[in-house]
Amino acid sequence: MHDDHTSHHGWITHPRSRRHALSVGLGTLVGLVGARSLPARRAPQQATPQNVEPASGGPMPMPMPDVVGDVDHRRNGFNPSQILTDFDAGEVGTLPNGQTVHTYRFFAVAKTVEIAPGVMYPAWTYNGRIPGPTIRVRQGDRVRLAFTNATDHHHGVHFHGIHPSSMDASIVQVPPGGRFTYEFDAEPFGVHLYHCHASPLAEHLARGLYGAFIVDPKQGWQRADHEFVMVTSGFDVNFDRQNEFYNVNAIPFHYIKHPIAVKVGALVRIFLVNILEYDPINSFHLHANFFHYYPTGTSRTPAEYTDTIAQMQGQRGLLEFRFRYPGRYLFHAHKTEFAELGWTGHFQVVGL
Amino acid sequence: MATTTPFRWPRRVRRCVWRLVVPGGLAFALGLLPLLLVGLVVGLMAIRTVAAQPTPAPSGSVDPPSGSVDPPSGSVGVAQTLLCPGTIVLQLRNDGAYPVTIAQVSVNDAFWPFTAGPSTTIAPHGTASVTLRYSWDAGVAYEVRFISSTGAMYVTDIDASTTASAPPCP
Repeated sequence: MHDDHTSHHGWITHPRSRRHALSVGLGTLVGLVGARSLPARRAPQQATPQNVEPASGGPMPMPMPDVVGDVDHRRNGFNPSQILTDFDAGEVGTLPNGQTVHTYRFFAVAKTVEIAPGVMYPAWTYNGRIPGPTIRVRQGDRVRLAFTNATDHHHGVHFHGIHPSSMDASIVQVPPGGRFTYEFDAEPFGVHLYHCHASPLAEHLARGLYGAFIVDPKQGWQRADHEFVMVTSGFDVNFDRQNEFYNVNAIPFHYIKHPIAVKVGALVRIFLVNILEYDPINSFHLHANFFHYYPTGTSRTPAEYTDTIAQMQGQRGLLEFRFRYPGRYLFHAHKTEFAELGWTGHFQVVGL
Repeated sequence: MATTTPFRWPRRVRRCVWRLVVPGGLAFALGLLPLLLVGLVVGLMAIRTVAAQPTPAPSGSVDPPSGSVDPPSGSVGVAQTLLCPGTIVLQLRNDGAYPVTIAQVSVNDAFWPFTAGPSTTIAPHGTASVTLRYSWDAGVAYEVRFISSTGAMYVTDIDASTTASAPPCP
């Protein structure tokens, strides 16, 4: 493989390197063995996670894949632990015809977000958070979304659902400083999404302009003890159109560091939306359990009883399950590369 | 919107009138005015460019941002690699003009806990040792990626032919 490399001042350009990747090679100038001793080092700056502490009397266990450190959620202005259950009905009112109307105010905002511990990313956001607010209304209700574009690029809000083309962001692109009000009836019931539809489309999505759009059936769902929204995506931090980080609700490994608490026997409902760019397929796998899967959430009859499902970009669905036993359970993309680059979490199941 | 063009004398006429009205020395000085104005505009643009430089991230990083501005090429390299039992130690050297903060490290497409000394921030011409507890296997190639606080990525390969290092090992 090194035959293809171009030597430059002793460094080697790696053939797999990405556009902004700065590649270094070991083969040419590096002394691979300890012929030269390293300079004396002071105490490490960053602590290793708890799982690498030596067992008493035994060898140190190998660490699991993880990122080092913690994200400053307060500085980011959003926290994935809160996003999980943050369902936004907007300002609720009634139209003269008796129809319920949900009014939202969305702002497209350019914002530097710490998308992994210590990694600052120039994101584009709806209302300063990734994913954007989880819109949740009842089937047939009116959605009225006043959008202001506070960035230097064209943006919009394209909803998955049924509405006139005049309310579609692929038609209505809002210029910098511009405003537009999207207004339509929420149809059909199910788990949907919204995202920017300005071009270049891939970048406008990958930068963070997306969110979940949940339409409850008129008669409601079966009562659940826990309802969570999970939006799966990735971040291309060096802009080479490949993701370096994968996540649920924006922050890699967040639910490993902060497991999701649920109760034994309780009905858990997950609104799962995949908006991953640059990779064609995402997936969801639950450990030591099975779930009923309702693709797009548009049927009240589950399509599958499984522990693993696949979703292409824009695909979404509803998962329902109960844990039979207490303990800690992994959930992750079954594309293991995604899992070990951030798309992994834990449920912490406690007894009643 | 409709626009109108005001009447102007032909350029040759205007130039003659100008020479009649303005004495020679003053005309020369006034002739420099456009140059001075150009200089002023260029100066203002330079000040604006400097003011638009990215401010350091709150974490103390002063890396140039990736995406909008390319990071300085080839600024971080691996000066030495130690393969010790259950541990990989990579000595990084910053040959660039900016400090670089190593935020995360991955091995073969998996983020991996690491420690760095003396600091995760490497000053220009400075070094840092990154230590990974990793169950590496002889005869297997590994790709190690270092992601900086601004998203710049530095990639290195540990060749499959690499053998275990002699002491010192951590």
